[in-house]
Amino acid sequence: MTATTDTQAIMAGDASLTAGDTTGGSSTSVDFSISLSQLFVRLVKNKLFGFLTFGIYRFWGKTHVRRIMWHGTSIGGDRLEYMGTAKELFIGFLIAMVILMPIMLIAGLIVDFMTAAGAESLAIGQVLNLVFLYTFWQFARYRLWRYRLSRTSWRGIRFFLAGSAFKYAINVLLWTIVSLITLGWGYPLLQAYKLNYRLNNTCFGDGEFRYHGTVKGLYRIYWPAILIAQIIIGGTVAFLYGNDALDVSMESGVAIDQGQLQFDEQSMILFGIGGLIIFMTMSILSFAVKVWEFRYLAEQTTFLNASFSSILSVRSVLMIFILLIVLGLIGYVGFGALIILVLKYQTEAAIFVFVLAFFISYLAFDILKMLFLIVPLVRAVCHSLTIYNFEVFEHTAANAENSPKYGEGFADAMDVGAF
Amino acid sequence: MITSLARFFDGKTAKPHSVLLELTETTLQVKNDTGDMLGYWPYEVLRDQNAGKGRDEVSLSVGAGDHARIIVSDTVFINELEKKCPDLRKRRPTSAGWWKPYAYWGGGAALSLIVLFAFVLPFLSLQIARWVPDDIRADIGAETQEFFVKSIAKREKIPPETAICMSGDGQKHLDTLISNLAAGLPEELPEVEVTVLKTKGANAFALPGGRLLVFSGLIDLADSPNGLAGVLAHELAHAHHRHPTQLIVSNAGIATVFSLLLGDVSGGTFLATMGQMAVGSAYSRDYEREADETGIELMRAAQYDISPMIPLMQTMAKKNEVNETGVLSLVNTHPGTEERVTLLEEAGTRGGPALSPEEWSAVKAICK
Repeated sequence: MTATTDTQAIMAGDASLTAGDTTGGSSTSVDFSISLSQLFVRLVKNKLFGFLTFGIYRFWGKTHVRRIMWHGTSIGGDRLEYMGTAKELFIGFLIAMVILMPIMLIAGLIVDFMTAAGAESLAIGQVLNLVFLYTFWQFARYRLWRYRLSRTSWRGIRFFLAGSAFKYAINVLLWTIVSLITLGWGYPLLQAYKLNYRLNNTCFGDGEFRYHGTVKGLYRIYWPAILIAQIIIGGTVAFLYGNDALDVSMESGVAIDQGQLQFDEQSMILFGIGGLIIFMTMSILSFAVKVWEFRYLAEQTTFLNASFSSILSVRSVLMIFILLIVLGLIGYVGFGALIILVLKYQTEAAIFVFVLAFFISYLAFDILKMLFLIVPLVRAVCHSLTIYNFEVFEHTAANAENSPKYGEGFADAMDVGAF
Repeated sequence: MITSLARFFDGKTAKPHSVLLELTETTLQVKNDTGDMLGYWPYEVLRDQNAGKGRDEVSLSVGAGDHARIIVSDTVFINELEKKCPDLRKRRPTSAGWWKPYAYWGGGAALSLIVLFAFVLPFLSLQIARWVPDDIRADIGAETQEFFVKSIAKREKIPPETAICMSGDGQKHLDTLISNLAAGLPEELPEVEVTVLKTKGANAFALPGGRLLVFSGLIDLADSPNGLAGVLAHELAHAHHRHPTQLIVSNAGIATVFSLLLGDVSGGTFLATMGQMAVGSAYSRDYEREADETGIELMRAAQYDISPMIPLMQTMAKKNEVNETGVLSLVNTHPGTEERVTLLEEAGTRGGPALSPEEWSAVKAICK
């Protein structure tokens, strides 16, 4: 016996609408909250069943994880719904197998032969293989987004991604070549293309998202990073070269191979410090740039009258990674201790324990990555978002656009995407 | 009467509607604010679309293809609804013929896998092996030999130059022996060359292009020159049929297919390796059978007695049983020893010795 609650409370989803009022329209936030224990149990099950079924279970496992993640996300109080099924994924995979196996087989054989036939053709073969895989990977990613968006619904209305995956992949390849030739200065052009194509093709029901960002805007974000990266790499190489720590002649590689040439200790230390500086700076820079880019794209995107903003901070993203690195270090130390113990006792039991620990940590890696990296990142991104003029979404009608029948086969075969 | 207010999305627009729900005997009645009846949602098809259990909210739907949703967050009402509708959180019953796409595409994938492994890959590897020009095969052979020499030198802890045995006249006699055997082949090989490597293992390999590698352990093990000659004839037959090149091609193909099939499953690499070994050894068994037959023909053509190969092979099989080297060994991938012995016994004892006693002792001393 109930039904005494008033309409106001039932419309709880809309309660936040009136809270933050800007520019006359209503604004709302995006929430992300899931049960970590539920997700953990699910991930463990996925690992076990996946192993027992030679990987076939992964389609069912993935679908369960996505349902948890999607349903944990709510916009204006209404949850996203993941409508994809494992069957679609599995059959998409089978179709991809039928199509992909011959293609990959021939590509693999060609590269293999170039590898075997000598150093020159090896280089050509490797480059061709890389170009092929890179392009195909972009293609698969686009199709993956399309499938996921088409299986994402909010308030009973589905998202969709229009456009051509093939066209996207070819253009990304071209812009990637441009940014490689220009030593990184073309990278904002590549990003501009990607954001433009992806966002302008994203639809919700019969409404289309629009991206208004400019190449200039991206350069404003990227130029310091590109410059700093070049200075650091150039500087470090010059420094190491000046200290004879790095002999860049071709012969040195051969000499090292044959054990004729060895780095002295001091050079090794310099080399290590140089590497560490490069690695740290580049990591922090890439996080920062990605965060700024995300905020830029949020600000530059509109949906009819609605606009977006994000207050994602570099610090919050860095903290997630630092926590992960600390966890990783603890894991390494524990593993090191275990190796020492095994070496000390060298009994069969110790070796068994070691193998078992290795196996468990192998299984645990993906689970930890999900729980400590992906979930916190998704949470941070969701919580940083604000949507203005939210009420325009209410006027969106469903679209009759065809959605893909089976999903993600290529992406799955290529191992694209985190979950 | 059990009722609750709820939010209704009609699946046509994203606009929320406030509705009044009422539980009747077999259906959920949905009325709008003003009391007009919007519809009856039968319990038997009613399902909760939410993923998390224990949530105090349900998202009701009446069909997989139906996008209309009713969101209820009244826990008392949800409890009552669960009683009326026990299937609320169960899976929707599968439609008739649900298995068809699985069967068609699964069958298609399985069929293409079988066709691939049974016909396409062997055919392709044979064609590629034939198509690859002699100089490239010779290059691959030379590279592989260099790799072998290097890794054996590393294992035996000796400089690479001394890993190749060249003492005395042994090499000369081996060269003569191999050219006598090669004379029986219908076509000339680009590079017939025997190299003896100083290592304890009893093994011999054919490399692309016609190079043969013999481990000194095999020479130590052989009691008669004809046993060694039989092994060389077998390896020469591999080279003639371009088996090494075919093996490289088919292994690359198998590896590609398995890595695609297994995706990112934990232990996928392990499973892929197992699968590769299973399929790969099936191929190599075919190659071995072919090489055995041609090897016998070569021995016959050179008028060498092949019967001393029988005890040598049996010793090698026994040795390899005990001392599993882990690398691709001559015996592992070969057809069963008994089967091969039968084949050799059928070949009889015609012919004479492959080397004179003096020549044989020179070969025996090649690594000294």
